[in-house]
Amino acid sequence: MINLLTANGAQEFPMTPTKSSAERTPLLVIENITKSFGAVQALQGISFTVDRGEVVALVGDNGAGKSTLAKILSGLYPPDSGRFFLDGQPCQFYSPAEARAAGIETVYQDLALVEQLDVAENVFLGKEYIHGGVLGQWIGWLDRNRMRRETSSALNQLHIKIPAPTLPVRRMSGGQRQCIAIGRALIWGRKLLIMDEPVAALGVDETEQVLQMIEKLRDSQGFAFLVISHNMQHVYRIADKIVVLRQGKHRITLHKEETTMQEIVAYITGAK
Amino acid sequence: MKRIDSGQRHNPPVRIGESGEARKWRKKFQDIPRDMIILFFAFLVMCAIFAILKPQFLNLRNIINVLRQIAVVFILASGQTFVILSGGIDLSQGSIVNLVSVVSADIVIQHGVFWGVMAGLGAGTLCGVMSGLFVGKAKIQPFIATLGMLFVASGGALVYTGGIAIFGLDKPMYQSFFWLGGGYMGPIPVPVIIAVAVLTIVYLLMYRMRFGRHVFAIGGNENVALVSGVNVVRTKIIIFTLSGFAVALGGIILTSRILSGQPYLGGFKMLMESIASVVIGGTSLKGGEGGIFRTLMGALFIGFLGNGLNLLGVSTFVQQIVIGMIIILSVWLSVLRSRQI
Repeated sequence: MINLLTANGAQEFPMTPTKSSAERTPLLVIENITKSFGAVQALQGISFTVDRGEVVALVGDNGAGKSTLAKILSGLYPPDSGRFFLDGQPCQFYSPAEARAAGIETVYQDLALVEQLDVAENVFLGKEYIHGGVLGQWIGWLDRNRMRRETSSALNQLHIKIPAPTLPVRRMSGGQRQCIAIGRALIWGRKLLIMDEPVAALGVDETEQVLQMIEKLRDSQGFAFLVISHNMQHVYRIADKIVVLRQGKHRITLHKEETTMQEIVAYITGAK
Repeated sequence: MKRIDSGQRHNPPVRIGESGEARKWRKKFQDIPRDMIILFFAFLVMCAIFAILKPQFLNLRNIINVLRQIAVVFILASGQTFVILSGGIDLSQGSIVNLVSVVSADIVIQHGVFWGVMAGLGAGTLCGVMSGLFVGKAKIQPFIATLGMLFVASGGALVYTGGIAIFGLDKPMYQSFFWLGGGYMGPIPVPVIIAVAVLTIVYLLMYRMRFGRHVFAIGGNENVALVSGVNVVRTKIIIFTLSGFAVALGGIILTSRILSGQPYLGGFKMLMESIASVVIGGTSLKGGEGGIFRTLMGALFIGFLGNGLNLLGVSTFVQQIVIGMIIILSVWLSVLRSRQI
């Protein structure tokens, strides 16, 4: 279980990053990953790293391979070749559950929540609390009260406002849903959060709320983020590092201090 | 499209002079979907009309008899509910009844009641496991996989007996077998007691256990369930296994009631009544929406409708037309509901 849920109420984000030498090694190392779908070479040897407490933006035009890479990292597809390491450990995920267990959470563009389930059920989907001893484990007896309680308190800590954790998600607005989806990833994510267009469906206020949340968690908790976005303003604002993909190839990695928005766009479109 | 009062609906405003307890109950009542309330009142109105036209409709004996008939349909429909909630459909239920009937009747005669019941449950469950493997592992659409199983099971039942019925269960030594379908505990028929037990177990599975939440999640959005780490394949196998088991239970009760193994026992009628119970209750064929109490209402509706029409002397041919129209009406009701939300 992660720090947000077990935290005492007095402190908002209790874990402070300690910059020991072990933490200076990159959190995520991606080495030469390739992936083809039939004749289409979606990824042709991608390599880059993500540090702790770093927001890395993955940018590129449509079909550049951003989402494919995200799906490989979150266990949906296996790569054809190449490897990636989390905390120095080589990773080989055969299912999203294994990626989640390793500490990688993903907010998908189109696959966020089950509309028919309520907020707490969505937050805990696939990771339900079970109680009732050995028999309870075997039959999967749900600890509903604990899930509802912890959903409320965790979303409160993230300043995500919902009417009630027992309300079905379909009764909520698009912005509320997206906030819950992101909140869910933040609650569970221990190491790396992958976000595929996290704010595309949100209004101005909600977008601001999410961007602030990302910055705050990066700074206070040392979370690492891999954000896919088409919105250059957002990318330029929150990213520390910008990885540009073009037609399945790694074009360049830019550091925010050394680049401009115009330069990023030029690399994406192929003008540079 | 969007319901503006959704927030308020969940937290009703405090009324002057209302106790906290009354407010709590009002909140609970408001959470019941409106189409379910409409269906319930339609059921009451229907029963009132039958009672006025034919007073014997309300005879205790009549009601107990109808409940006994409904019990079997409900047991089948409870398995069907899981399948439909997950976005699938089980077309093989009727023909699995046939297979279970001949297998259990034959084994009861050869090896005794206990092994006969076990063999019947085993045969039905095995068919369910196979459908589940085809749907879950091989990713065949449930419609196709269970259509295939429909033929396999009904053909299997005919091969098993060579196309003839198995008689010889009406001996005193098989008394305990007859008890399953025809017996009473106090004033209540045993099938009704079994159905209530099924209702309880299904309720717990559906709402209190992880499995039920995964069924709703798969029916609501299978890909979200998958990326959330739900074991979709295993859950689907369990869903169809449960359906097979429920059918086996219903098949054994029917076999016990008629005291013979019939290779044409279930067939089309049992399947259609099972699906109709689920659908009239308002469970969506798209998956993710619905529940076991809806199915219970659907089964009660069909059962008492048939009984009332029988008492009025309406032919079974006309009854089919009526049931068909009610299915369409009730689905229209849930379409209206889904537009509201």
